[in-house]
Amino acid sequence: MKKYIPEWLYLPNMKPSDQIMWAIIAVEFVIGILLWQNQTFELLPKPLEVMAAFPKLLKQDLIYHLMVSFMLFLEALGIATLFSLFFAYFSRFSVGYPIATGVGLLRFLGMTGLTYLFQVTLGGGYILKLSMLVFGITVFYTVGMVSVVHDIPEEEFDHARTLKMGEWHVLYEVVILGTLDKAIDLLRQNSAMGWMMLTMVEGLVRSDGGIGTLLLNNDKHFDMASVYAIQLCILATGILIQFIIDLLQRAICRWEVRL
Amino acid sequence: MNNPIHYREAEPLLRIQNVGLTLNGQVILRDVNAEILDVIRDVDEVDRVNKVKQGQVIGFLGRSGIGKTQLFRILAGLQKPTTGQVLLGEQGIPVERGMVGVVAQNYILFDKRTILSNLMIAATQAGDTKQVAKERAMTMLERFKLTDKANAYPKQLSGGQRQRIAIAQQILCNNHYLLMDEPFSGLDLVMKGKVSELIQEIAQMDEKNTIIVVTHDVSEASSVADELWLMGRDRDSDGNEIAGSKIKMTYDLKVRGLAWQPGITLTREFLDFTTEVKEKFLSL
Ligand SMILES: Nc1ncnc2c1ncn2[C@@H]1O[C@H](COP(=O)(O)OP(=O)(O)OP(=O)(O)O)[C@@H](O)[C@H]1O
Ligand SMILES: [Mg+2]
Repeated sequence: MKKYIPEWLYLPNMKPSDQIMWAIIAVEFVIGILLWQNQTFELLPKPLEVMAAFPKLLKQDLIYHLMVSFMLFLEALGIATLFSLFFAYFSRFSVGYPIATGVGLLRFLGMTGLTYLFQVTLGGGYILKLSMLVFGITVFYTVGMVSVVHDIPEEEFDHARTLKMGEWHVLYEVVILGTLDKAIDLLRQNSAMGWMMLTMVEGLVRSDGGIGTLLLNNDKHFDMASVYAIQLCILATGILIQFIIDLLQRAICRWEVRL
Repeated sequence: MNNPIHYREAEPLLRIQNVGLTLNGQVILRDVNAEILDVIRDVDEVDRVNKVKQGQVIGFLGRSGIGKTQLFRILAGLQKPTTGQVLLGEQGIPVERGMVGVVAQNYILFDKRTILSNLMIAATQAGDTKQVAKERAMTMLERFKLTDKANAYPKQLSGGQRQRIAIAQQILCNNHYLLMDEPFSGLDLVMKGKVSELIQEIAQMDEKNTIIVVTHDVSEASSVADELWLMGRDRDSDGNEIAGSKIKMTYDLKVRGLAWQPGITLTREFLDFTTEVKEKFLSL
């Protein structure tokens, strides 16, 4: 009897062929859609209702709002990456370590009081949204990167030093270049976090538009089909961002490729 | 009897003087003293022609945790000793980082650079221009038969290949002194033989080349080295160990006619010698 059931169906750690893996994905996706279609919560619209909301959303400039959000996100991610890497590398200096650790601890702060602080010191509108996002990504990215930079084995520093490198050169060669792969890994993880924060931040300043604004406007009118359609767009864009970072990683990290 | 090979000893190349090391209040090394002299080999004793370029190879033995790696870090200028000093060459220049090469146990390389780039950066660190660096790197790759790996990355090499690149990197940057931490560990019999040959080859590349090799295996050490250092601890009158290791014993294989002869490891004398060293090693 057991013979007729393939092992990948019930055993862990199996590696079925690519075709089987894709088949599993397709079947589980269809099951998911069916469950969604047949659920009985009144507030949750069915798949077809959500699809039907798209033409209406396109008339509400869905694409434009998505672009506005995407550009804001890219700028925030870029700035946050620069800040985080700076703090992390700076943490290799005795005077920088407490500062970098302190930045990381800020992640336990709530956003509420900060909104006001940023608004007063940096300005409102676009700048406020940008600074909130940068803050949110930086605190988490810095924590991850500081720990990466301090997990480098002492032997790697010694190796560079035996090649007559001074400490600045060692910093570049071992710390900056040596952890480049991990930096991109953390960029991917924290970009997901930042993208999740985006709709919340866009709720603070609605005048510029953006997908978060569109979402809140539709939510206000209890247009649940549109709300979920927008959520689908946010999800799809998030996946696209991950995909782009994956490509970036593959292009840069050639040293990982097995011959 | 094996034929003794003629040699004489000239000026000191490396002197370890009263080196002591205390880390976090724990005495690791105490009064470490040793000296490596330039060994000069003349094939023809009478008119001193046909000089062989003969570097020095020291086999460094000691139980796990005795302080070999710590002493290496001091010899390479990576760790300042609490007392004493390490002097290089006839003039007795205090060692600084970069003067002595170290090949660590796990063959560390710059993983984000290609093999060629790994070697070139070592050469430019020694002061070469880019062009000279590239030439020397390519020559080194040829010598180690890894020319086809020039554009590969370290993670794409086997353990043995990584080891050779790690050695090449240190040779390109650091003149004459090479410390190797357990170069034989985890290798099969054939590879062990190859590494032995490689060590001999490096030793004979230059008269002044000096290699210190850590191993746990007495026979292995004796087969590559012309001198052995045994590290151990002193004991008090009750037979308890006193904290702080030192070089307790040295053996000169040259004096016994056991150095530099390929077939020697199969002879009675060699076996007797390694048995003697092993017994001493266990009693330390
Ligand atoms: N940073 C440190 N602080 C205090 N003690 C240390 C430190 N690093 C190493 N030691 C101690 O120094 C001693 C010598 O260590 P070392 O690594 O030199 O041994 P070893 O002879 O190389 O051993 P093995 O053959 O296992 O590599 C050990 O007892 C170790 O616990
Ligand atoms: Mg060791």
